[in-house]
Amino acid sequence: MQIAEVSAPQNLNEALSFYKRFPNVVPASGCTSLMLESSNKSISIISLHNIQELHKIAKTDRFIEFGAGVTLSRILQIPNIPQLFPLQKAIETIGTFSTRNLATIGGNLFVNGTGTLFPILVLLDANCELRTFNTIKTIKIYDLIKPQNKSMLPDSFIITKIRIPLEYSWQVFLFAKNSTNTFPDPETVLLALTADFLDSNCTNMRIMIHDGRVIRVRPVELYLIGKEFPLAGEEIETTLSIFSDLLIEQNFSKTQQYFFIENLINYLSNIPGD
Amino acid sequence: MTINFILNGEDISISAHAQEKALIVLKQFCGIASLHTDCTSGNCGKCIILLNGYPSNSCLIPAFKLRGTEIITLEGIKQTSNYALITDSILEHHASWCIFCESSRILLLSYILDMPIRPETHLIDSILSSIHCKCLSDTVFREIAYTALEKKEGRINRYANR
Repeated sequence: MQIAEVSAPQNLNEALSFYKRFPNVVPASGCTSLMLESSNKSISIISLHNIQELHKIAKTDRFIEFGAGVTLSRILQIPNIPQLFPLQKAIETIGTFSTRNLATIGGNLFVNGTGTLFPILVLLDANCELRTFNTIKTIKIYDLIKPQNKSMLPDSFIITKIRIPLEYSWQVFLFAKNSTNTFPDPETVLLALTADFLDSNCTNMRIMIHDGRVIRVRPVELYLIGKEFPLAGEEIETTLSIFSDLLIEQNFSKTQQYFFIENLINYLSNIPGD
Repeated sequence: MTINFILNGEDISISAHAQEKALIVLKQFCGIASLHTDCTSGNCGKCIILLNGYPSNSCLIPAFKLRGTEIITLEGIKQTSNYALITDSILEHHASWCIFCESSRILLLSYILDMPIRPETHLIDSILSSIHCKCLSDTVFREIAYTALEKKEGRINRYANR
């Protein structure tokens, strides 16, 4: 990759104004994906790493908000917020400590498709703020999933903030990723599951699988909600059969199917009913 | 493009391509010999530098991002008291490591020693696991880190008790 030109605005308005005038430039902050790019194409970059607004973390009683340029290490170091544990657990599977000091949450969400954190933020009902020079839009991250289960930012928008609600905390969160490689990696997949229980009955459940595509496993969720845990053997078999059908339909490889099914069995047998 | 930054306390001004890896810039333009090129994709951790105080893989930093930053490499750490603490701790454990990961290991230990409060065990483990080199076991590396921390805390306490 060749970088033809770099613009380094010092504040967000300057960056948005520049992006409006030159929509073909590539916004970059952490630049980790950029440095792993092996193509020979020439690009111009708008470097966002000097923009202080994008490095802020704000917390209220109702939500915690990350600027898109907040590094993954900083998120990991936030103590004692149970609602953030799923995100922090997922971040621990991305690269090493020294790469997480460079990589940013905004970059992980949208560079080269969708990163590890996308499905987790969907599970957490996170919103993101998207901006152009004269528009501000706040939308649910879930709404960025497009056909073919890929995510994408609307044209000419820059992601500026990610907001995670703190009013609600899932009782159960389970997460499995088969490697520390970053997406897009042909073999890397992850499975994330959140659930709530009343007595021993499952009252709510969300399951996401991710291989660059973000897929919500609704048929399994619908089957499991209302069931009493721990599940009976027959119920586990039915769940796996529904899950397998979906995996085959979505063209996952045999190895990936095995990973998903093994982990789901593991989860379902370990989720306590109370 | 012209890039100005501070390297081991000295002002540096170089001319480099924007997409050049900081690793190459530091080795070829600034004569930093302690950095090593291996995977160049952020996995091996043999090219770690302290970028504005934080351990970062120099193979993942484009040259243009160096502008206005402060960089410390092993050459800079050697002038600090942390270096003496670290080398004492290595000797105490009769340990040694290869020249390829030496720089990164010392920088990570120095970063841990400079943290304002003693980091929790899992954070220390996470920091130390930034390097993938088989020359030294993780257990021994962790023990060296704790010994260095104890030496540093002991020194601080001695001053405080005076």
